Amino acid sequence: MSWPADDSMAHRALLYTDEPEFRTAVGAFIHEGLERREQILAAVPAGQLAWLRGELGGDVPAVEFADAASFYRRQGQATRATLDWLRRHASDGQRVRVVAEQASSRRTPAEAADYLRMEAAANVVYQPFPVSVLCPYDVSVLPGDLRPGVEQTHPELLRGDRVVPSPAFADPRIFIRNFSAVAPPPLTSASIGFGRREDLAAVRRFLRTQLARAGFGDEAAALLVAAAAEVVTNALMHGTAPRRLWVYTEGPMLVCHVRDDGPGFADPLAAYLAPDRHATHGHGLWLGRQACDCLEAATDGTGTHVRLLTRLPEPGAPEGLPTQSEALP
Amino acid sequence: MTSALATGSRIPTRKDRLINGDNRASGERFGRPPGDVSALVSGQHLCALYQNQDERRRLTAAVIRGALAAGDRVIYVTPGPSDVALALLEAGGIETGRPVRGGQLLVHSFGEIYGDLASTDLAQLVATFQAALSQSLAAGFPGLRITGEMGGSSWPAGSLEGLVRWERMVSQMLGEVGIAAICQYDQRQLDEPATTVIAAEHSGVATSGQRLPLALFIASTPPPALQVEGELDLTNGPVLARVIRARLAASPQLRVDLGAVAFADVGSLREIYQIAVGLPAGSRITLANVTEPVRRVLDLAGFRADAVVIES
Repeated sequence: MSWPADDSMAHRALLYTDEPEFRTAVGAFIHEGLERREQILAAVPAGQLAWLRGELGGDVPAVEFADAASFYRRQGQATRATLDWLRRHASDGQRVRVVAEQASSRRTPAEAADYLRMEAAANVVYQPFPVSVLCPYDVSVLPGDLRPGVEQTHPELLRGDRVVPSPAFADPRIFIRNFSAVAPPPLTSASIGFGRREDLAAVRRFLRTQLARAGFGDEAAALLVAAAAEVVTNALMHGTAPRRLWVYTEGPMLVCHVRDDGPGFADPLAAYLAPDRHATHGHGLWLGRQACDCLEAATDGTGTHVRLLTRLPEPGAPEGLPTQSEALP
Repeated sequence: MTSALATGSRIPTRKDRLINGDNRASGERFGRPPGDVSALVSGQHLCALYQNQDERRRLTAAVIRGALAAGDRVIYVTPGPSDVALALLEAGGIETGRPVRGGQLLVHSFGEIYGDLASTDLAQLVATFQAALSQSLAAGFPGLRITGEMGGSSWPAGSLEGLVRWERMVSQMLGEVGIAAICQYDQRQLDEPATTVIAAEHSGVATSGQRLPLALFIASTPPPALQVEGELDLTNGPVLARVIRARLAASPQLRVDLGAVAFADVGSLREIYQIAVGLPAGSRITLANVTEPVRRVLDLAGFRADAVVIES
């Protein structure tokens, strides 16, 4: 097995069945990186973290460990944290490595779908960096319906010590477009229409009322209001009438759902890319992406729909959001 | 009295026009269109008609609040003493302390501004307000507006002709200098034909607007610091940018106090960062007292600029 030594990006999935297989494959990946003096970020679940420490005989300075439970608490924040790490370590053309594995047990179907779209987007988001990304998947817990998606979003697969191209790999933009379906809002859910800039203040009041009713504390509600307001503002500036915002629950998630009659985003990756430093737009969706647990954007005959999904607060849980220091290794 | 006229969709009749000069079909009063004092544009010349002290207080407060919501300097010309004028504004819900200290709200008598009314000509009037506008810009305000109490001893009864000549001159001056003015009239001192004649010299009749502005932009000391109060979104983000540019023109180091901003959208914060990115070396914007919700939006949106300092 060998990983690129030039400035290209590599993104490979490892479908493993047990600890020895994980330790052999991921261990080889890390050892090769250490030999080449590459910085390594490993964001994996606690169990796998322990395996890796065992494989390496403890902590190694060139390897940063992050517990997947906090690193991936919000998908968008994990992307942001990874991008920040890449900017710090790989911006001078210095090759780096990332091991990324999420615990898949707690995912709702919406989160799983969003996760796969992010994996597809990763092929574009990390493209500018000379980075080798290895995504291990524990097939004993991987839901069967996720497996085709893993093969569609990773251009290469690790099989033992061989690298094989993934025959199912799809262009990220096409994958995202095909993997985004409109979910109509429940008929009885609370909603508010909007059509003018002057309506924005009323939309925010509506959101605050609904979020308080759903049990969100002030701090969490303020962030969600900010995120949903950006989607509403986008619909106002780029979409067409009629426009409406719904708020409802879906399983363990609260949904802020914005619809307009426009054709939607020209680039399916719009909701997945970090805006660059001087960008004049794109910050709103990027904020929504990080403020919520998942974001869906889809267009069909009923219009363009953007949904922000956030886990409902658990009763009795102290108010608090993951801070940047929690998300960053 | 008016409910039957204000509702329904029947075709208005000539009689509708007779109620206090209102044409309820078109919103015109005394033949002039309505002008919202909170959405003034430069060159606009409105007349504000009040029937009692309560209306006067409400209109005057709306004019001053409109200026604060635009970040403009406002000169309040009043025949009475300035403490009485300020008390009127306070009673109308305006906190006058900071705008007065920051030079944003100036209270003057007629004489202080215009000198001898009878001998003032257009050239003098233009020169006076060009100077006032220059001073406002130099002090870091993006614009200047004037509101004046037109009653009192300066305008003795029977001088309608003089008043019309004056208002016509003011209209010309406003257009030339590029500022806005609202002239306040006690309607009880005017009969309807006189009101119509005076209204005709204005571009519209002032309405105070139903909603409070979303945010106020208050000049604070030491000038040209800026305090923002309220919420920032698509409706007033461009105003924020205009005010910050004007303040920066007066001083390259600007402190913007966001302590009373409960909500700011990404677009309004991006305005600040885009201005900062274009600043010359040595120029800087400091954001002070940033509230937690605004801090999180700044952080998550990923704005970074060397010329913006976030004071902790």
